[in-house]
Amino acid sequence: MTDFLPSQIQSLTDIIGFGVIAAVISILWAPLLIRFLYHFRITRRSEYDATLAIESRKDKVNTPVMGGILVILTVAALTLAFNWERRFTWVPIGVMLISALLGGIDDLLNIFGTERRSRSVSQTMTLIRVHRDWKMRLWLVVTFPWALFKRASLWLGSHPGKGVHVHEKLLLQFIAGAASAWWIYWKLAENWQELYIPFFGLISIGILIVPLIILVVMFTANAVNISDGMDGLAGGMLIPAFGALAFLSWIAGFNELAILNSVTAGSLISYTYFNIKPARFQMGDVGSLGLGSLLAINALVINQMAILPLIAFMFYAEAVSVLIQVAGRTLLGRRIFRMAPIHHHFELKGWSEEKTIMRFWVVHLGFVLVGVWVGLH
Amino acid sequence: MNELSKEAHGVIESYLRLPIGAGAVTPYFNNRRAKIRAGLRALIGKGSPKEIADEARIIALREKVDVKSLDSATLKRFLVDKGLGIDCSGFAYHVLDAESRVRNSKPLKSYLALKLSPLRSLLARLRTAEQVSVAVLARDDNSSPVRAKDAQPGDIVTLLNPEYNHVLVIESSEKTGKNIVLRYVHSYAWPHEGVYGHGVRRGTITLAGDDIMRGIWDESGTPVDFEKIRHIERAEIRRLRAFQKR
Repeated sequence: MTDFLPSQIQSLTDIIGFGVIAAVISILWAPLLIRFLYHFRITRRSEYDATLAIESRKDKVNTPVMGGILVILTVAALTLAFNWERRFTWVPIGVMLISALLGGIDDLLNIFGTERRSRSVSQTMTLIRVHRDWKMRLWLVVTFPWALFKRASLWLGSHPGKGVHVHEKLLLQFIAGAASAWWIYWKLAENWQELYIPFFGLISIGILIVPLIILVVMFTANAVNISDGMDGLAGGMLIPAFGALAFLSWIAGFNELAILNSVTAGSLISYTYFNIKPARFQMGDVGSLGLGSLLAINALVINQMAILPLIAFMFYAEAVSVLIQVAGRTLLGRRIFRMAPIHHHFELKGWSEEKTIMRFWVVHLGFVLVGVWVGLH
Repeated sequence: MNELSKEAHGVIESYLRLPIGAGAVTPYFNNRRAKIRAGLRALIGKGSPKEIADEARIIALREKVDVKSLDSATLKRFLVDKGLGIDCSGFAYHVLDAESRVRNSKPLKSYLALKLSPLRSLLARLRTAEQVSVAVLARDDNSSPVRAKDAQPGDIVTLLNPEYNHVLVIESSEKTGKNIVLRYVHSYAWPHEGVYGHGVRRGTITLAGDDIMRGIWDESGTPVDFEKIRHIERAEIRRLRAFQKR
């Protein structure tokens, strides 16, 4: 204690205090949100979720989704009221809200939308040849690369027919990632144009850091989204992740970001209280995409991209398991895991949902601790 | 060599009684109609028994079907309805691959020439079962014809037709008097079996000479005749390079 300055102690007190305030506010309005979601029937439906066929999951039908709004709005409101600092909090909140909006639209379309089909490449090519309106044929030719992108993106995600299509999600996430990259590389400028590698120091990769930032934001957002598949799984793993970032931000002297991370962690504590089995609500894409983007950008802005795979270990493991499964299917014609993401694999192996979730929490916490230790070097 | 190895027999038995629920004969499935591309092996008629069983379990999970409660006949119908099964060359590949691993300590693909472009060859090494068709097995660089009296377990019978080929695996061969009796196993769909009766089965060919199509074909007491289904241009007993003495 004697080595810390009074100002550091004060800032730490503020950071933790804001986290507590966020937890209290969230727990107070969570019941209202749950009632709101039930009232408007924003609930999980079995017709678009294959995992609900798993015996142990049948009771999840009609559980409210979009519970992530609790965290998104609490974080946004508290930041706007007490931590609205142009240099450090505008863009993370903006990116979080863009991603949350995308996720929210996807959630709502999955529940209330209609089946949206897309033309195959061969159908498009046939129309280019035979459509009687030359303007339409010209339009199809001009938009043909987009049609190819749409079909190619199906390789990256199964699409149940409703909801935001994979290519649309990728595009919007790209926008969120690009906004993050623009802010970090051009607005924050000099100190953020090099990548910090623990134990090695700063390395300059020039403009390549921009696509790297975009990729990291997109990947992390999707990783959290993929992980949100069991009651309390994503929430319980995000708490230590944001807690670690709050600590590292404080150590690095970024008090605004430390407060932002602490508020997020605090709100997640309350969210997870209601999300553990039997869940009163589930995060939905509104929460997972928003918080995934926020996790990435908050790590990037304190130049801790290198430890993000540790801080977000289980999220990345889940995302990688999906990539491995797709690669196995395509290259080998076989399933590598019984089902991807990997938490389903363990569930199908006979682990109970609770055992799966808690083991994932524990493993993830271990890696977060390692990540913090590495990040301090 | 009097019969196939225990491992190859194990593969055959697993196809005859899939390791799922009450067990059922693996249906015949040919990807010609479905034309699934780059799909799981189990879904295009090229899966191993375990892969087919695992896929059946996952489909059952999605469709909320309790496979453990299904009897063999109902399970078979389920497999057919969900497009699960094995085609003739896929079946032959897995049985002969097991045999090759025992006899040669190497997989069957080590002995197969696939004649593809370099990139496709690389992919084919990863997805060999999907690349092995009857035509590939019957090529002279992969197998050579043998006389009926020299037939051994592990040899194949190839029935070639420009539109449709077929392959059977010889399980055993014995001489009874002047005749040679070949016991075979294959995956096939006879027209008279209808929608649900097809699949892997055993049969015998009793031969007086080398002409296979003049032999007496029998499956479970029922005479069968491939020529009635379609004209066979070339019928041979062939030995894969993997099983030829060097």
